[in-house]
Amino acid sequence: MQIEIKERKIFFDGKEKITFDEILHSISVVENDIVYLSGSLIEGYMNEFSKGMGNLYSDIDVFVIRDSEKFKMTDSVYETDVNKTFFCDKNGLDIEVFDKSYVQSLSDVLSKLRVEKGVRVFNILKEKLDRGNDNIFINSFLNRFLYSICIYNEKSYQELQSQINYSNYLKLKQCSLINIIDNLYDDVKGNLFVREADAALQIFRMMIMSLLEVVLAKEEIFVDRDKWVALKFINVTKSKMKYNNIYNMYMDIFRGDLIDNDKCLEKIEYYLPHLEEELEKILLEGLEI
Amino acid sequence: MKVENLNELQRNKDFIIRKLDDVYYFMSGQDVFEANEIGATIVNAVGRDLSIDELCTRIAQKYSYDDLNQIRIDVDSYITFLLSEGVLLHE
Repeated sequence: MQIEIKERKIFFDGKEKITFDEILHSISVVENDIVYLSGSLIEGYMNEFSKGMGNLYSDIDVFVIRDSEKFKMTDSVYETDVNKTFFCDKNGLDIEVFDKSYVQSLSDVLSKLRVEKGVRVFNILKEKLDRGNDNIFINSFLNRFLYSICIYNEKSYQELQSQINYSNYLKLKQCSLINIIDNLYDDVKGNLFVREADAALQIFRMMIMSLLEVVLAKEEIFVDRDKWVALKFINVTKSKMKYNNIYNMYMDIFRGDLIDNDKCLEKIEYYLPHLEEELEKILLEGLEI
Repeated sequence: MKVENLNELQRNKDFIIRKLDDVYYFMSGQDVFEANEIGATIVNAVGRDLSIDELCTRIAQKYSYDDLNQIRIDVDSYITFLLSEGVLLHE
């Protein structure tokens, strides 16, 4: 599906779907609110590496960052201590409101973030944020805020965008993903040893998916749903030949014929050391002499 | 035996390389060795046909160090250390 945004109106396949003013009206905007649109359709519209995201069943997601006092008074259907969700029956929009003081404290933590040896990387965030510190939640918030279109209070939106250190978060994420790969390594070896093809394949696929996410993090690309990892990675490889080996590995292990057990085990055995080589290439990039 | 070319060496594949912030780690089981960027650069170049003199010249250029003699002493000593710990092997 083709989405287009012009003159503060959203068009689906050339037809006007909704205007920014209609969206703002359903929110009952209050002073200092920052309102932005995000989600797969918006991402697919905005970014070359997100091309293909969003379809006719996807929603436009509406987000609001609201001053703390007004956030507390916002009615909602679902809520946590940092966000609230409500629905607009008239146009079917889901609206998620974030407490601005939370967003500011997240921004402060990210700006001072440093990965340390011997610390489980995402525990760093848990220790430093007293609420809204779930990693999936933070990743999703950052993904959606970064890949968004502001429809109200552009100045404050830009200010907040410039304060958030997205790179620091992605460095942390990269370390966490590499930990996951390292932890799975012995498991896949063990299953190869006993020739358990299905378990070995499942684990190796998890390793490859994590490697694709490492590539995305290295390229400073956020992803907040597993289903978009391969799509974004493949879009990246269209302009970056250096990831061709990883692309081939992905294609062979996810899209190739692996019905025969021996062939399946053989392929995993072949690619396992290559996965480590590709990971090291990413880590050692820039050290060529 | 003094190493004169990086092609006389190979990396011990039992050691993997990881990076946290600007620090590199050569890891194998319980053995972990830290390295800075220059250390990781040397290990990354191991196996290539590159004389140690040329390596030192390139390090001097890349990192703006003037004292080539001192670089050579440090590189020799670092390679000896990595060989003694099994991170590098003679080809």
